[in-house]
Amino acid sequence: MEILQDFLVPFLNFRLLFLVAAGTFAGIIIGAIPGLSVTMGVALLLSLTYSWELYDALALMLGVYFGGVFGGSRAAILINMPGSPSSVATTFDGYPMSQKGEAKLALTLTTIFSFIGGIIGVIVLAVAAPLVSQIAINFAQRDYLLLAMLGLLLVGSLSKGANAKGIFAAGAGIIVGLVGMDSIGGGSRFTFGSLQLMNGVNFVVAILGLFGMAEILYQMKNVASKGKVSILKKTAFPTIAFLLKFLPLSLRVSIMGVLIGALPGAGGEIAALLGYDHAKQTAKKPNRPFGEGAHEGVIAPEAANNSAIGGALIPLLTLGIPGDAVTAIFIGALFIHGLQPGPLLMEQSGDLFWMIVGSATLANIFLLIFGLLVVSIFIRIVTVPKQILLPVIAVITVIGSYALNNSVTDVYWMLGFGIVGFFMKVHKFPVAPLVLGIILGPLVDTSFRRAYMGSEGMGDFLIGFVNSPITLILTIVFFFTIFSQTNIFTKLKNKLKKV
Amino acid sequence: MKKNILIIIIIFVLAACGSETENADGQVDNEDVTSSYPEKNIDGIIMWGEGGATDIIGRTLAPIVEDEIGSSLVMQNKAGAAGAIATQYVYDQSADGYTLLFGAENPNLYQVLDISERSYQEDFVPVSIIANSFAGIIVKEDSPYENLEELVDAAKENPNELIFGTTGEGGLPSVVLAMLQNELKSEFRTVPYEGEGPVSTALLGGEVDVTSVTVSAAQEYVESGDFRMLAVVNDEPIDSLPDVPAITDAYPEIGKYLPWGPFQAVFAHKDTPTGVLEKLTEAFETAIETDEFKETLANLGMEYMNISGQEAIDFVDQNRSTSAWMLYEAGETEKSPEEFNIPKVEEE
Amino acid sequence: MYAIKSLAPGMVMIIVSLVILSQALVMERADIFDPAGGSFFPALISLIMLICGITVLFQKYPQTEHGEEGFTAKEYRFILIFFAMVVVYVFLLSIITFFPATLIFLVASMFYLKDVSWKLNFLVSIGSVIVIYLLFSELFNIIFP
Repeated sequence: MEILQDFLVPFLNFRLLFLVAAGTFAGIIIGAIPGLSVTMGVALLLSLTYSWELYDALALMLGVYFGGVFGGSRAAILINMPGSPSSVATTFDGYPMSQKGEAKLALTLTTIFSFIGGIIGVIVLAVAAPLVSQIAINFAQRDYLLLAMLGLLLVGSLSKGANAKGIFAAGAGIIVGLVGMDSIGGGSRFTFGSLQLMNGVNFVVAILGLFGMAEILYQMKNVASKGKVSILKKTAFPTIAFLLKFLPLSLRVSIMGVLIGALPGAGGEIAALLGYDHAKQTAKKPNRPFGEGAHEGVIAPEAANNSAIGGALIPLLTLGIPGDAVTAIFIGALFIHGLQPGPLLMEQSGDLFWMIVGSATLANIFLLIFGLLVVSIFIRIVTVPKQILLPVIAVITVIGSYALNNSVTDVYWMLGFGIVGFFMKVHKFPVAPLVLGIILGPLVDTSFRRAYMGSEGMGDFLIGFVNSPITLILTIVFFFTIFSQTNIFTKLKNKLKKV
Repeated sequence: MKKNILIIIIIFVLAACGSETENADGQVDNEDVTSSYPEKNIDGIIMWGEGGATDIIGRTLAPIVEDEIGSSLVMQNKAGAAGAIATQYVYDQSADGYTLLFGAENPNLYQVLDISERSYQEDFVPVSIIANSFAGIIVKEDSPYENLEELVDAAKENPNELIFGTTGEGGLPSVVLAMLQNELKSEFRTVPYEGEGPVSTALLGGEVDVTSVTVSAAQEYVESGDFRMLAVVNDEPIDSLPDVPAITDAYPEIGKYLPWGPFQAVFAHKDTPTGVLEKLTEAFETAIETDEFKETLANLGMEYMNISGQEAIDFVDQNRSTSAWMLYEAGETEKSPEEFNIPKVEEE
Repeated sequence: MYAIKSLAPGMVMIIVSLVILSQALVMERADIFDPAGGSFFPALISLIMLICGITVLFQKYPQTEHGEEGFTAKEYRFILIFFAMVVVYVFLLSIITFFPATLIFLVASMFYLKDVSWKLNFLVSIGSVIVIYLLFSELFNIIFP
């Protein structure tokens, strides 16, 4: 009973209700603008709400968190520019849908399934937080390694037939991700003696360049040749039957999303990538091939990255360990308001836990409402003539990459990635694997080396892959995935069918 | 088409010329810099990952300092290479007091460990030493080792069996480890993590057998029963965890290295204008003094220090001498502290 | 001519991987044969990249349909000039501050891309400059160069 009361606090208190709504709305806007990240938004609120009541501050911050992760998908779908790393996977099919005139359907679908993913994340947080956090902290370096490698296997499906080029691009991405001081050995890698490179390459800058600037340049072609004008099909709101078709998929990827989000070393971006991969493996009859605007291809990553928020809150509230950069700021907020986030938090302030669950539920409800309401506003972007849209986006890309670190060097990096990305597109080098490498490369590197350092020699290192349950499952999944992507498997399947 | 391009180029060139002159007389002298400081956000660079002691202190202190100084303090984590990435980053920014380094004791060892050329002494100036603390040696609650002797004996019997989680070369755990290996002849395998938060997580997950973190970072887990602290690296038990024995109880020979421990401080680039530095020091001093922040320090199990100026410089120097020579004598350093004129602390 | 053009991507790939491999080999404080060292993994990646490069070099390409996807020299020039304008804009940004630089860039680029009336051009430019300024500078306290 008490739990229900605490849970309902944000629903019944008008001020909290308003703050969650305002936060969610602001979050959607912040997330949708390339260069403004959720982390920046929440960090800004931390200093803004310093003198507020704890509940008020948390309500607003949670709103921005959920709204922001969701908002990233808007720009990903409409202009092929992921607003945040966790919406990279949404561009794979979201943008092709938009190019085929289905922007409205893509926006609607992602809103509905972001909501479902978010709610599932919150439910898991509410009912299974201690259990999930146990799994999360028992996730060893080998498991992170396998997870990152599974993500890297996506290269195969992102290369669109040009496998060698795709793998090469992923390799180049990994190397870019490793630039800078080596956090394990202490030396510096690929810095060419430059101090600027010591800090590594900011991967949001890379995304802004490779997706944003490169896409602007590529689109110029249409302006130059006065080619096709963007089309916008009239779409009715999807029917319930149509939506129900995707429910099982969204449930599966949401559970995956919660678990990955709960890991201290992996977050929404990896959840979204693996969610996309899962959709691709399991979708029996996608409306179109993946990468060309499959509905499953936008639903899965969005459900996964929103459910990862609930996941990220789990280690924060049960153990005081942040699951990502945003929850690290929440830790600061709790400390500032005199609480001690740690294993005793739930015991000592159970009301807080349920209030957070309540606010998160509310944020998801507002996300659904606002998300659907603003579809018609966002959709106009597609109909804006390219001659006006492209220069404005170019400015946002430039200012956005500057704003990340207040650094002009970052802007030049973004331009560099932009021109490289453009030529890659021209010469049919897939760009997505490069980004995949930048995101996953460092994780593969550190987890591999830590796992190796923790074992005695190569033999012991390899045995480690089969002697713990989580690792064994991941190893099997990993090899199964490799196996299923090769020709042998397809041939075998065809033979079996004939029999 | 050609004509259009020409017009555009002309516009750009004109604009560029116009600005050149603007910039030339836009120079301001030093006094103005001080009186107008701060006129934009101040970046606070935290040298450790989220959730560690440096992170918590920095993020708690930031809003109080913001009120004092009248500008936003934007906190960012730049973890890696025992804090050298953040140290280098702050060093690379202009010395205008808009980028501050929230750091621990680690840069004191960069030179001897050949991690980086940077050092607090030569490249930075302390704004304030906020607090100090002690290192605790911790194991997971289900570990077979009930006290430090058992752990050390096990590490002697089976060298390189037990895994000691560190936070990279020169981090707090690596100095404690040097102490154990040098004085007590125990041998551990090491696996580095990004900071105290991640290494605590690794201990929780059973990935490492033992580690050493600041008492403050481990306190919550010790109270909840997840971790067991075998010893605190000091010559007497500390107030926040009175039940934990001092390391000298079992091994008095460690005593000669003590007192030694981590500290938390804010540094600015060495060439920061004096006026700006004074403003910063004043703001931090007042902020650290607030009951609010003192309460946070108490919660964290850190000892209030709040020193600045020469006193702070001396404190940092003394810490460097102890750590550098200790690691050197343990054969852990790449270079001798003598190369960098680091004085040896005489035994009293 | 065609042969060189079709070999170019493979050659570039091989050169890039060799550069990376050489950088991994000369890396300080890292033993290339120690899997826990800093250079083992990058070296491994560079070898994989090298293999990909060689594969591409010897691969027989299915002739890509020209026309739709191909770029004419004129289009290239058009695009690269726009890119040059962006570069100049970034350059100007640090000299003449945000407002004038952005305004000039927007007006000039929309003019360059044609088919936008002057009225609309100015309206959109001024509008976007103000909105972007309010958002980034006022709300997020970003200090423009």
